[in-house]
Amino acid sequence: MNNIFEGNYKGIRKKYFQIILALIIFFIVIAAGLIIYIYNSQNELQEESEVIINKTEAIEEIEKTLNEILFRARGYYAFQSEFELEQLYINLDRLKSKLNNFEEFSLSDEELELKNDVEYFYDNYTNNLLPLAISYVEQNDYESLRELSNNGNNSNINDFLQYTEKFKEESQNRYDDITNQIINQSNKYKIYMFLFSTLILLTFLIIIAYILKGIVYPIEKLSEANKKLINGKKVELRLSNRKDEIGILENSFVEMTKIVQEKEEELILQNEKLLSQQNKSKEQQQVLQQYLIEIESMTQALDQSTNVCITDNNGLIIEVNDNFCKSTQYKKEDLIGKTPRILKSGEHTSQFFKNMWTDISSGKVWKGEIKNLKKDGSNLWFNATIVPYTDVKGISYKYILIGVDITKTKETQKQLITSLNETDIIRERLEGYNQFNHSLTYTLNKLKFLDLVFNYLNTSFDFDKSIIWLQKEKSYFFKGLSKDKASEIMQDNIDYIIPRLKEDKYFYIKRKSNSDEIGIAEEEFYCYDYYFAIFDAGNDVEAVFAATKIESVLEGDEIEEINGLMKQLSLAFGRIVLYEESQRDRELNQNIIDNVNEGIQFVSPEGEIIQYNNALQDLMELSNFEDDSMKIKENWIEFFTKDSKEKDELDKFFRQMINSKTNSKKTIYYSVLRDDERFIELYAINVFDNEEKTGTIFVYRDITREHEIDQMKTDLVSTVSHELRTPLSSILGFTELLLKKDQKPDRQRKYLEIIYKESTRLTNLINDFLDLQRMESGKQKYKLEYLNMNEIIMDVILSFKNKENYNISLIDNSKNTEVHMDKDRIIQVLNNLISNGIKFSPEGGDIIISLDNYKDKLKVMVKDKGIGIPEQEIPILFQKFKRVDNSSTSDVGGTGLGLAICKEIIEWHEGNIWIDSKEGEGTEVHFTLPLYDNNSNDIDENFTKINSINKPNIMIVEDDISLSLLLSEELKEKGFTVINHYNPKKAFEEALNTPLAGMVVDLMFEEEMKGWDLIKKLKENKSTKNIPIIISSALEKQIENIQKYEIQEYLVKPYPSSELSKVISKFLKTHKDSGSIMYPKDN
Amino acid sequence: MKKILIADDEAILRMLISDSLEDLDIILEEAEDGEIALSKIKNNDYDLVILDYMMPKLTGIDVLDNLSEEKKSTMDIMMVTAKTQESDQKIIREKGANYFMSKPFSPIELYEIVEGILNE
Repeated sequence: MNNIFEGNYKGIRKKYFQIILALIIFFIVIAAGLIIYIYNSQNELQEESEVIINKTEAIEEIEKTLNEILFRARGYYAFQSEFELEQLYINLDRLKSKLNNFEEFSLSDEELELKNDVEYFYDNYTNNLLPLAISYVEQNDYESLRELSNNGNNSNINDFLQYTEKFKEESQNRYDDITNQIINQSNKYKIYMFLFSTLILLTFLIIIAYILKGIVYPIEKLSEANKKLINGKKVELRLSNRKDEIGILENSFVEMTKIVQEKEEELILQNEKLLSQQNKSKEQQQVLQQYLIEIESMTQALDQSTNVCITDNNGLIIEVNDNFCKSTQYKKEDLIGKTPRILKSGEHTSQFFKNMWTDISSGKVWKGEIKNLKKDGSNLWFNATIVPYTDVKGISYKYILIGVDITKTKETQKQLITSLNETDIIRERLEGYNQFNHSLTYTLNKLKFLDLVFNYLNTSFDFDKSIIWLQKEKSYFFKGLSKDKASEIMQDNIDYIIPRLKEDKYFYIKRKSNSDEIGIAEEEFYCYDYYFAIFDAGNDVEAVFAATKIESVLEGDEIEEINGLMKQLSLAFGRIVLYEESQRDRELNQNIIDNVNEGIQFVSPEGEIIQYNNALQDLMELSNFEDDSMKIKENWIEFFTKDSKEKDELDKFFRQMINSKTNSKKTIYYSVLRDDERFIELYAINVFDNEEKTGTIFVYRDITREHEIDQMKTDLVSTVSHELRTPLSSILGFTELLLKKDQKPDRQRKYLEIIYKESTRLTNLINDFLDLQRMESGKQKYKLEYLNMNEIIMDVILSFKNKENYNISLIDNSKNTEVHMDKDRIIQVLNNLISNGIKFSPEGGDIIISLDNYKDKLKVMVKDKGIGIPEQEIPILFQKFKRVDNSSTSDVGGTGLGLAICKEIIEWHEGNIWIDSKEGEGTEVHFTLPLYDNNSNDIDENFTKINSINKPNIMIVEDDISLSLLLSEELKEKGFTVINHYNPKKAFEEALNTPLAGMVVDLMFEEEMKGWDLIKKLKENKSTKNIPIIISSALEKQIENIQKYEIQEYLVKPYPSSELSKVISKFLKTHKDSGSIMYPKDN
Repeated sequence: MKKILIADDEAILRMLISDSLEDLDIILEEAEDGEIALSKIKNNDYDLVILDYMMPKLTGIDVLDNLSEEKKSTMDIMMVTAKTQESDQKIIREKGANYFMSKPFSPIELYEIVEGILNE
């Protein structure tokens, strides 16, 4: 126990010793200090009083001496006695020595002054006065002497004497003070000493009290606890924190108490246990006795209520009770000595008995239900318990069977199971039927419906073969049949089945089995074919169900059930038909609504969207209509109005229409600003059903296009007005000036020129404007021809030959220039472009026109080296009335429509037109047109390949030499050998001798023989009739002859020579393909 | 001598106006487009400016928009235009033109109006 405190153990003795020692030292120090202090202050006062006494004495001495001096001086003066003089000198010396004595004290300022005065007096008196006085005395000059003494030389002395009196008095006072102080101090010291002794006394009292508390109180507490402990009361003590002897004592006591208490509790517990054990054994004894009684009564009850049979270990019955006999109907004598096997029913397997025997022979109790047979052969069920009797070694020597007759229960149980099974079957069927009905109700598709019916009938009535079909649609389902057979049934028997069904609603046919049905069976048997119908509302057969039962029949109630079902199905079928019709109607309606260009929206009287169409979604750019929240009034109104300029009016319009109950129609126009501004015409009308409002229809029509056209029209009218009024102003103005004012002749001429020019401009403007208007509205009629662009360009260039300052030339880089075009319009384009080039090259210069093939297009470029066009203005040049803002163009005076017209024309020809320009360098206008024969380039290549080996002969029969040469050049270039003939007769002769790939024939000849004659001859001759002929003539086509002579191609002069080679290469290719090409002999 | 500016992009019309006014004792200046007109008006003190409505670079209205009210109050402005609708005329007036002449116009009438303006 003590070990706990070992580390920081503090002895109680040591502790109190330390306290007392500290106190003693403290008091000694204080007392010593006090004594020293008292001694010192007393001493000080003593010393001071001594000094005062000495000083007083010294001053008294000085006074005495001074009085002596004065006395002796007067004596001398009066008596002129030498003795007196001598005494005077002695006293003067004495004064000197007294002064020196006085000087040794520490002097105050006043005392120092006094001393100095006396010294001065001494010096003055010794050195001046006395010798002077002596001399006066010797001379007996008392007059002077009296004067001298009256001069006040003695005043210092008198002051001093006076002061001496005062000083003495003060010293006396001070001395008295000090004496009083000493007395007071000693009184004070007495009080100090008293207080000090009281403090010591108190301190010791406190220490004693502390010691008492630290030691006596815990001891008292312990002794009290001890008393309690002795009296057996519970003691609760905590471990002490103290680390001294008392602490150890306390803690030891606490430990001890704890141990004592624990031991005591243990004892009490053990005691209680013993007591309860005693009680228990008493109770057990009672229970055992009770058991005995119960067992006895139970045995009796058992014997009366149960069947008991006891066998020996061999299984021979040695005892049965009356109940057993009664149950089994055997007599006791019949049973004793037999095995229970006489009761065996055959219900249980031998394994069952084997298991039972294993159990009981090993000493286990067996429980189970056993079926036996009574003597009369009826069933006897036992709920049996077989208990083996075992000896000490655990070997069974006797078995007792206790059986309760449960025969009745068993029978009831059996019946119950049977009826449960039946119920289950009925339930299943009902469920199936319910499900079927449910499916029927929710099936809105005829085929699915048919399938359901078919499956239901088959599962419910177990047909061997069956088919169901729709009479109109001929859709069907079948089972147990081949497909061919199925359609055979449907079609072949229709004449019989349908009318009979109409009449009888259903029927069946009993027939002998056919070979398929017999299969491997040995004999024929009967089959039944049943026919049922589903009727529509007009009592026409909608569907037929035909089914076969082999070797079995449908019971009467089954047939009734099927008939009932068929009636039900008729109704359901009618419903489907109706549904399909309404569905079709709805789809049709929705399709109509969706395909309308206008957005349509139908809202309920509460303002909720009920229906809408695709156009509305597109128009509102609304993808989230599927989200139902958009259908709520506030949401869609907010959405529909939010981008509108006329937001408030539109909002008001919606709300007014929704709230209005009249059948008024209203229209509002508004604009919506999303990506671009759209103008919408909104038309609304309320819809009524029997004077009750069912909703409001809003129809949205996008009139942006109309609005734009309207705007464009207004702009155009304004522009045209300006464009027309400007030349008109000049014409009218200058005419008025001419008419109303006299003008000089040259001015008159100038004015007239202007009027003429402006009138022309006005005319051009109107013409251009009308042209453009016609083209834009699609009313312009185009006369299309296949023409070569190079020739047209040359013609146009010729028409500008009077422009001397301008050198207009064509650079032709193209192989193919044939375009399907309206010549006049293309000339108009070229004229416009060349005029522009001239206009915008005020200083003259080259205007170059070039031609290029680019893929399947012909590209024309008109290039000038004029003033050019600022880059930012290029894009607007093709717009109407847009001219280049350039001060140097202000005199040009175009209509501002030229390029717009060009664009219209070129685009009509499926071409493109564009401008490249650099300000100050010139402008290039390009346009493309599709080539007539855009494959010509490819053909040329193929053609060249063929002819690098064989050069086909072509004969040209033409009397215009220059043309003939031109054509030959062209054909030679393309790789033909050309034979020229001017005379048709000669040409024919040569054709007979030379193989020709083709002939080019003119029709007009000055000879007797004309072109047609030649052709006729050629076609009549066997060896020349297959030569392809191309007519090259200025005459119009003669369709009749062309067909008659199978003319390959008819070229109307003038045509570009390239056209000829192109035509030839084309048919040469076709001939090769058909295998009838003719090649010339090698020359 | 009174100073008049004629701003029109059509040289013929400028000639027509100046010939119409040739009997007046005035100094005539010309401008070929809106920009030139604007800078001339800013740098000179004209008594009358005859402005064409439709001009390249700056229209007659643009020119007026670029002039201070103070400047406009120091001179008379006549707008010559093909626009004859009242709504257009209203805008022209609001922009500060106090005379309005629609195309085509009579040179004699122009002369009389200008004479009247200058004598005011």
